[in-house]
Amino acid sequence: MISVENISKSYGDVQAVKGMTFQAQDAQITTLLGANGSGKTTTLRSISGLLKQDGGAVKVDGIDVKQDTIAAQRRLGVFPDSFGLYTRLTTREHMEYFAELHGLHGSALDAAVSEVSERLNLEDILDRRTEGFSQGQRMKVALSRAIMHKPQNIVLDEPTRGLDVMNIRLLRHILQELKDAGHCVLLSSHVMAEVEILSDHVVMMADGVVCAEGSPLELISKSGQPNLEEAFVVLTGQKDHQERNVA
Amino acid sequence: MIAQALAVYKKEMRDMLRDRRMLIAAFSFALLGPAFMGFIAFLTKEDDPVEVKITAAVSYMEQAPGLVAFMEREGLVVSPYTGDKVGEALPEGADALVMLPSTYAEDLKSGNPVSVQVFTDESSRKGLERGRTIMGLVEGYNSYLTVHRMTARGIPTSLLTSVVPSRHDISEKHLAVQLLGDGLAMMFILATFVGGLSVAVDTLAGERERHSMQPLLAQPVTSMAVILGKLGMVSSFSIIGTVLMVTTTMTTMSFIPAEMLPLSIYIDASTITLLLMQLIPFAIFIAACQLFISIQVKSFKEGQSYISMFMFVPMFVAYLKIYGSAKLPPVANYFPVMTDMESISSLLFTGEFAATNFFISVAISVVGALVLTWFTSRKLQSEVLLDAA
Repeated sequence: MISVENISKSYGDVQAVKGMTFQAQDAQITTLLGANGSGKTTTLRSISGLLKQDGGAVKVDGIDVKQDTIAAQRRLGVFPDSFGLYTRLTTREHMEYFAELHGLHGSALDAAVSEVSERLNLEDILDRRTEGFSQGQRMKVALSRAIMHKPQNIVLDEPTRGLDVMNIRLLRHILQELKDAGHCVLLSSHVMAEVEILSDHVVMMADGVVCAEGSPLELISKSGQPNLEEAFVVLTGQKDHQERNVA
Repeated sequence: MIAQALAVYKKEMRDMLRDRRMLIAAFSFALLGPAFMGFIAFLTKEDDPVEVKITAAVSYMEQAPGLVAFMEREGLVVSPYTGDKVGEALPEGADALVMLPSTYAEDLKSGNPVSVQVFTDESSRKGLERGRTIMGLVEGYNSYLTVHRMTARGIPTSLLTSVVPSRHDISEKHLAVQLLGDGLAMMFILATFVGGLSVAVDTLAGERERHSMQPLLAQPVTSMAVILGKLGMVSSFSIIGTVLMVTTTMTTMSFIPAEMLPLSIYIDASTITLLLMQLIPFAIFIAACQLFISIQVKSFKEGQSYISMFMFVPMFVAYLKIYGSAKLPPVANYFPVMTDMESISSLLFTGEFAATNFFISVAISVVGALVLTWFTSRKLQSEVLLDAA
């Protein structure tokens, strides 16, 4: 379980996150839904131990990320906002490298590679260097290295960005499997349809604060709007271009 | 932490060894530099063979059997010249033309001074040197005759010499030894810089540019383990480059004829061991410097610019030592790079172990590498590294 308690983070004069509080439960898919610049990536980076928040606390399975970053990171699988692959390494070498950083060796490492490659259908690209991979193949490699060590908590920053329909469906299927296996899945997105289908719990963000949270149906109901997109506009107080022009 | 550092090291080595450009950049200097030196030596050798015979063409040589015998005894080949005048060029195959007068034998017999003209072609170094040799022999024959004439008349030949000058070099090292020794030491030191240059930029600035820093830093691995793994990789390239440079240089020098080298080189197991004991810590120190620079920049290109500028430091210091050491205070010999050059040069060309320079060099390398690695690992924790330029 991931618990974010009143965190704030500034970059110089810009306050990216202002008192964010929410929880992502085990066996649930929780989505941070927000426009560009709403603080999603900053929040996820604070959870991943990549950033130190100015105030508040982030806990992963009860471990304070700021106090004991390494212990928290052991319980996390991170899929960052850019794939960041090594083009001269093969898929297998990516998996082995990240598994070794988590302390896997020998037969345990080999078993993990087999299991993950089977789960993500990586057999055909397992021993190919990642240079020239399609977006979908890159996504698979990035996801494989995030789940190699079977983390209880998986954090994904806009994982469907740049993917085609089939790869989005594949990713959705994998995330559902992880959820069904009892993992805590936390992702960020600004694609309403994807969020509506996938999420058990949605945290709506705007300007670095939580505006509303609940299941997609609860949020739609709460806003009195016909769908999640309209609910988002109302609940986050966003104005679209037309409204701004009229104003 | 050690297992994680080893995992990083293994991945980095695998990654870099697959990049052909990196390998060319890392090792071309070590392989081609000494090979180029050897090629130049080879060309020089062809141009000036050791067993060369200098040839002099002599007119009216039948009148000068004494002069001819004197020249031949000194190793010259003497051939007759039948012309009366000197042409626009020297006779074919001759390095100089010695024109004797038609009255040579008669003038010599009567004790009159004989005008002997030596024509040379000084448009090339070879022509200049050989022409001067022939001229020197003609002058030597003049002294030889004078001594014999005076001896025949009962005059002591010591009267010919009032002052006997002799020159003695009191400098610690001969200039040629100093220049060659420092030059070679500079090559070895530059090899430590060149070996790790590209990979140092790629492993941090490149990683940041490729956005692969984020997934790496999100793993449960300390920044020190990451930096140690990367330092190991850069040091390996630097050490391999340096060992290659030492090996190829020594191999090349073994092919250069001894008479072409103004000094002896002391190569044995203990010299090589001491050399590596100094160069390996130095290579690690330079790798730490390069990583320290690499982590400050946002892109591979920016990193290349700064690390290339860093290359000027050893070159500047080395040239300062080679050409300006006389004007530097003695303590300058213990500065970084200078103390390394002094120690290496002394070891290879005098066979002496310069203990003070050696230990200062190793101490600077070890302390420098530790301090810079600590700073680099601290910098790796900085949030600004998460995003590229």
